[in-house]
Amino acid sequence: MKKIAENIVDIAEKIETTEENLVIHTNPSQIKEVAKLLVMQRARFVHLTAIDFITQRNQIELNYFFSLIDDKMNVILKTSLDSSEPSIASISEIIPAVIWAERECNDLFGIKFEGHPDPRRLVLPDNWPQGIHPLRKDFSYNTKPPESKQPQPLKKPQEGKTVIPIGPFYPSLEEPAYFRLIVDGEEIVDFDYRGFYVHRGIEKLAESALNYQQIPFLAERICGICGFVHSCAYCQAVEKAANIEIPLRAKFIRSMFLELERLHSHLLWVGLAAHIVGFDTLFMQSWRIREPVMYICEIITGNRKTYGINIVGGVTIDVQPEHLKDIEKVISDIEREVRELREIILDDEVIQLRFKNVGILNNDEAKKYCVCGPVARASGINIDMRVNFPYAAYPMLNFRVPLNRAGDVWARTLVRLEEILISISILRQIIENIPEGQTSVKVSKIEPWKEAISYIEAPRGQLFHYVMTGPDGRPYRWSVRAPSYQNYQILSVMLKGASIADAPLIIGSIDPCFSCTERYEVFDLKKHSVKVYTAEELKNV
Amino acid sequence: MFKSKIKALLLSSRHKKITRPYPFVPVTPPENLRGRLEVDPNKCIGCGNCVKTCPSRLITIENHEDEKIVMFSSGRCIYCGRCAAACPEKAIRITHEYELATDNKKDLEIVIKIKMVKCIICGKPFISLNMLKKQIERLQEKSEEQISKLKICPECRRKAAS
Repeated sequence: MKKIAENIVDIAEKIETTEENLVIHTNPSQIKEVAKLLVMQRARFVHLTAIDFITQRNQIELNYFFSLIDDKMNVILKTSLDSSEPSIASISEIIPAVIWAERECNDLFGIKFEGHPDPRRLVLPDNWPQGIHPLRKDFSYNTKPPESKQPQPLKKPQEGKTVIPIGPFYPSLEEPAYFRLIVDGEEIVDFDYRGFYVHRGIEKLAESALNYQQIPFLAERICGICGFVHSCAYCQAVEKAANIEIPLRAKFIRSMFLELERLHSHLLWVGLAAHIVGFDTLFMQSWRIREPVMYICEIITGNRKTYGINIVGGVTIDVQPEHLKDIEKVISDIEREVRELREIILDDEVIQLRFKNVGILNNDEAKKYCVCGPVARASGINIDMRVNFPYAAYPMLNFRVPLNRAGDVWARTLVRLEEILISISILRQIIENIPEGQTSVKVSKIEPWKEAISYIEAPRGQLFHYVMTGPDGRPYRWSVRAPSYQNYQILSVMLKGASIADAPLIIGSIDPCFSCTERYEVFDLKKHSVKVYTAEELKNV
Repeated sequence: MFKSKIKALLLSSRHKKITRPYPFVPVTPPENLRGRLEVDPNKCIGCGNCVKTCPSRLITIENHEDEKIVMFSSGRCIYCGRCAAACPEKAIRITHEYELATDNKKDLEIVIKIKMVKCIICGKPFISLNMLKKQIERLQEKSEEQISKLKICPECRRKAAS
C-alpha cells in the first residue's frame, strides 16, 4: 500500500488514507497513467461510477474503484469532470473490464469516453431520446421522456459469417437477454450482447424517493435468487458510512442466511446445468434437495425467498434455539444427498463429455477481465470476499476456498459442488457459536457526505455496493455492481471458438443473473395510477 | 457409466412423491409468515408512522374537514411487516392469511376513517378522537378542567398563554 502511495504521489493531486480506503484525487488528463500504475501494483478493478455534483460545483465526479487483495485495501480513484461537456480518456486498453462500466456512465450521465472500443448504448432502451441522462440529479425519477426510436446498432457479421440469435427470451433461464452468436459454420467467431430489458430504475428510485430504512427492501428485490446479499451489502455500506456497530448476534444471523442462500443458489445452478445438457433426472433431484432449504427459511423468517429481515442496524427477527436444531437436521440431510449427487455427476461420462474442455477461460484472461466468484476460482484465481474482505461473522469462522485451475465448465461445476459442502460446514460453525444478545441497534441521524464500500461474496461472486450518504435522509449515490455484471463481459472470450451446441451451457456456466445485472434505468415509474389496456389499445401500441 | 445411472435411479426412486396436494389439502403457514394486513380502526390514532416506514409507499393519509382517511392500497404490499412494527398503538396486525388472489383490486384496499375532534374555542378539527381518548387515559388526575384543556388546539392554547 505504501508503495502505491509513493509511486503515485508525483501524478496524483491529493492522496488521503483512511483505515481501509486509499483515496486518490487526480486530474482527468492523467487518468491513464494512474490506472497503469495501479494495474502494475496488482490492483484489481471493481467498478466505475459517476456522481452528479452539478448543482454544488458544476462537476461530475468519476470514481474508479480498485481493490488491493493482498493488503485488504480499497483504492478509490477520483477525478472531476466539467459538467458542460464531460469527456475523459477511456482506460479500456489498460483494463478491459471497464468496458461495460464506461458504456453505462455514458448512458446514465452523458460522459464521453474517448477511444472506447464499443461506444454503443448499454442500458438505455432503444426508444430513449438522445441527450437525456436519467441518473443526473436534474432528472426527476418519475418523468417519462418522449419516445424517439433509435435502433440499436448491432454488430455486423463479416462477409460469409452468419448470425444465430439466442433470445431476447433466453430459452433455459426464463429471463430476457439477446445473445447474438456470429458463426462460421459450427464455430462461434464473435459474440454480441444486448440485454438490460428488465431495468427497473432501482438506484434512481432509492436516490430520490426512499429513505435509508426503506431501501433494504428495494435492494432485496434486485435479484430473485440472491436477494439477501443485496440488502445485506447495502446495510453494511450504510453502517460503515455512519459508523454503526451492529450486535454480534445480528452478524451471525446475516452470515447464516447468506450461507443458506448460497446453498440453494448452487443447488439451483447444478439443476439448471443438468437441464441444459438434457439430464433431467438430476435437475429434478437437485431441485428436490434444494427445497428443504426454502422451507427452513420460511419457518424462520416467514418467507421462502425474499426474507425481508435486514435493516440498517441489524436484523428484525430472532432465531430461536429450535430453529437452529431444524437447520442442523436439514443441512445434515442435504450434506448426505449432495455427496450422492456429486458422485453421480463425477461418474457420469456423458456429463463429463459435455462439460470438460468447454468454455475454457484461462487464468490471464480471467485476471484481465476481473471476473469473480466461482468462475474466477475455477480459473485459478484465489479470490473470495469472505476471506479477502471479511464481513459479518466471517472473521470468526474457519473455512477453505475451493480452487481449480482447469477453467472449463467442469471445473466450475466442481467448485460449486465443493462450495455447497463448505457452506454446510460454515453453517455448523454458526449454529455452534451463535452468541446471545440483541439483534438490532437503534439508528439515529446519519451524517451526510460520508462514503463507504461494502463487499459480499454472493453465490455468483463478488458483489459491490457503494453508498454516499446524502443530506435529506437518503443516499446521495447508491451504486451496485452485481457479480454477473462483470462475468458477462468474459462471455465473448469464452464463446469464441466454441461450437453452437455448447453456447447455452457456456452462457449458463457463469450462472448469469439477468435481474442482478440490470438494476438501474428509469423505465416506467409514472404509473401512480394503473391503467388497464384493452385488447384494441394493445394492438395499436 | 452404468454405476452412475444406477445411483441416479436409486436417488430418485427413494423419494416417491414430494409435491404437496396444496389446493385440496390446506397448508398451515409457518408461525412467522407475514400475510395480509389487518387494521383495527378503533385503535388507529392517525399518527402517520406507518406512512413514513412503508418501503413500497402504499399507505396514504388524507386530511379532510372532520375526519382523517388512512388508505392502504395493499395491492402493492410487499409484506415486510414494517408498518406493524412501527405502529405505536399496535393497530396494524399481520395475519397468516396468504390466499389473496382476487379479480377486483378494491378487495385489497383497506380504508380507515378516523374521527377528528374540534377545538372547543376556534372550532377547527385538530386531534383524532382515539388520540384524545388516549391522552385523557394518560392523565393522572382526571379533573374536568384538565380534560377540557386537552380539547383546545395548540394555537388557541398558545394565544391563551400569551
